[in-house]
Amino acid sequence: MTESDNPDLTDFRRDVRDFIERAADDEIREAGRKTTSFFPPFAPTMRWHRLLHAQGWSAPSWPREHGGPGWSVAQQKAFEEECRAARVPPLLPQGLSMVGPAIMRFGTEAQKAAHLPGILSGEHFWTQGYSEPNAGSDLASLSCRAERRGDHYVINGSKTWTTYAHHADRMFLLVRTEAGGKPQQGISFFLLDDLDRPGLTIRPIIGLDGLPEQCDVFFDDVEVPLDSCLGEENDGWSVAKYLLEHERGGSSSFAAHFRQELAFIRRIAVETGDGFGGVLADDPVFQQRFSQLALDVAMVDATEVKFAALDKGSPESGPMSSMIKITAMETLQRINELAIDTVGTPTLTLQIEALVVGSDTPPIGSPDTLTAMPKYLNNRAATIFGGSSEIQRNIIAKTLLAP
Amino acid sequence: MSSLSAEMRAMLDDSVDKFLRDHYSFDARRAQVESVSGYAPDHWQQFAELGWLGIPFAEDDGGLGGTVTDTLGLMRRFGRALVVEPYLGVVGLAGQAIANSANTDLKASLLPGLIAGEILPVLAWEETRSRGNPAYVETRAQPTAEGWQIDGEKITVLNAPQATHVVVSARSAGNAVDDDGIELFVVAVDTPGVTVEGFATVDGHRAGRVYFDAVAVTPEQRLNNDGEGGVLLGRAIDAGCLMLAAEAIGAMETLLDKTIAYTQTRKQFGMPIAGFQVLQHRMVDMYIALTNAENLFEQTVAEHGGQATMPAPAAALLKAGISQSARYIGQQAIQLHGGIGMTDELDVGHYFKRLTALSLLFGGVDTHLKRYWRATAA
Repeated sequence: MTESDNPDLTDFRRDVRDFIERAADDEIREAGRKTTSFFPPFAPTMRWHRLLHAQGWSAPSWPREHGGPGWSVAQQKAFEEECRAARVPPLLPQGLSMVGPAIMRFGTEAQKAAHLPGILSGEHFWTQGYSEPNAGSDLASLSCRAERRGDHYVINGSKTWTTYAHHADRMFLLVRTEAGGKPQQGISFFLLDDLDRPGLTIRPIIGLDGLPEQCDVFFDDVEVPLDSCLGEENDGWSVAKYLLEHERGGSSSFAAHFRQELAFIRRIAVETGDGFGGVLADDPVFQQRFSQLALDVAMVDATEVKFAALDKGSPESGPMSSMIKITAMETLQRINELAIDTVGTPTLTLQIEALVVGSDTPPIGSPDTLTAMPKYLNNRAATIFGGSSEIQRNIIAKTLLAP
Repeated sequence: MSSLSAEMRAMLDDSVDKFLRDHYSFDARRAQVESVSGYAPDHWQQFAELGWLGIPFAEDDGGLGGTVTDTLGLMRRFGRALVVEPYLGVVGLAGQAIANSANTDLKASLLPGLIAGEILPVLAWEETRSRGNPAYVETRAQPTAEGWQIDGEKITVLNAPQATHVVVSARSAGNAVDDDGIELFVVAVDTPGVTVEGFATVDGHRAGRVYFDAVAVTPEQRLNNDGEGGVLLGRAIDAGCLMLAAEAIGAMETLLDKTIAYTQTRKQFGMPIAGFQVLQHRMVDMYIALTNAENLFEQTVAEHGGQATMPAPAAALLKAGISQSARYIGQQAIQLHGGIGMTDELDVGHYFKRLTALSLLFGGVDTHLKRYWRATAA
């Protein structure tokens, strides 16, 4: 569907623009400008989430029965594009795009009622506990375990790369509830609705950009209620896989995001000298690299639209989500690389203070170029998290080369 | 070509290895990076006592009598240990501009102090619109009764906040893009009208923007003869590129070693991940990228290292090649380490960031490929 197929979309876009114009205050816009990874500055982003919720727009892809706006795929895409164009921060995906859809699919009525409203409204923030120090690419080898003891489970072990766990009040995690059998068996998917528990410790990890985004989480005899399981006990792998498909390809609109990044690079290139008296935008090598990326983004867009219409959990959705993950993340990394090459050496300036939302520290050099290097550094993780590009290729190969 | 004896070079290499082993653990480096000055002044004094600051300077000037090529063993070792002391900026860039200067009085007044570690001159050449081309100079040197008046702004001046003196390029004639009309002046940082805006860089080093507002200079502060400033500057930056290349190779070889060691230890799916063919091939590609760059580097040094001026095509291809390999090896080292490679705690990310900086400094791949074309086009 394109805009011309749907005359209402012009009005729709205007409504979205008007709302953002009205509702997004300076701090929220600053958070958007200072977003340097898939995880925007926490507090202003959650505030924006709650403002969108008040409008009924916090979860564009959710079904109406759970509080989604009931938009078409084209409307969802248009909404995403308008948000990106206005440079408001993208909402954090862990609840809305990851555990939310999994709860809808696998949750009991009680679980849906207990968790979905808080995810929708932005009252609660969920962190993801999948990876462990010895279970990364080989996720199924995870060893964090939960044992039934009387009327509760007791968790022991640790999780790592739990994004924003230091901000979270809830956590979904994979634990081993039964040993033996295939590694995928005996894993359960837990929902923890309270992280303020004895024995649970969260330690932020400083990243390449000098800031904490990921965390280690340690469990030392942490007691959780027996109704913590999402889906059947020992069948958490099915839930985990379903959720990963959403994480990899599902509900984000990468193309809209990438087009904004390209627009930003183009603006910089028009103003940046080529060292010989002209500007970079007129340099054929720059033009070639830029246009190649425009092509890559067009392919991300086309595949993403196709994926959005697909039933998640169908045989083709797994490989296609892997394909989107590979294409999109590798494209993003090339975009980020072109950005630092376009800005040049000014991008080497370390500007941790100036990147804080509400900071009094002015940026050194152009404010537009402030985020280029942190994005380049942080998004090296994009081909690692959610299953590395190597793992995604294995997944596709398994289907493609099946006898 | 080297002017020092093979024995002397071996001795220097050993002394560098020993010093780094004793004083340059990753934790010690981290403390320096986080300190106010960004390096260890007592290390710098030891560099002076060990003779390292005098390697590429004539014995008459108080140096060891070597050339820039004699610093390359040291730079490679500095790359392996991620040394943050301002050797490239002070001994390399600024030191070479001074050492090759026609102004013998000025040279004699600066080099002994530099070699003794008492003064830290740095080179301010890059500008907002220069993009790796040292001949692009907008900073003005307006003739006055006593000499010149300098006005302009320099960016990414390596080690600027640590500097005592700035060697600055400024234009006394012509347009910004002209090769002629460039002058090089030495200005003390506390000169009225000079402002240094210092900052840390992502790779743990220090740099700054330097602003010149009606800074008065005299002929005694000019390093070049009439019409020779551009060549003097070009030589200094080519020397800096050679030293940068050596450092990059040191960082790349260490990063490859660390990656191989990690993949042989890290187990997933019941085996070391080095057992997976896709990762084996990746590491082979890293090895090929490193070895080709290293061979190009050694050949370039052998053929042109001793010449007063490096031919532009060779200099351009070397920097482009080093930058390319630095990018690839840095990125793949992170990828093969996975999440742990993204942390500040592990040294791998710091090698990656240094290689990222080295790939951008003095112009990146695109800039130098363009430079090659311009230098070879009829």
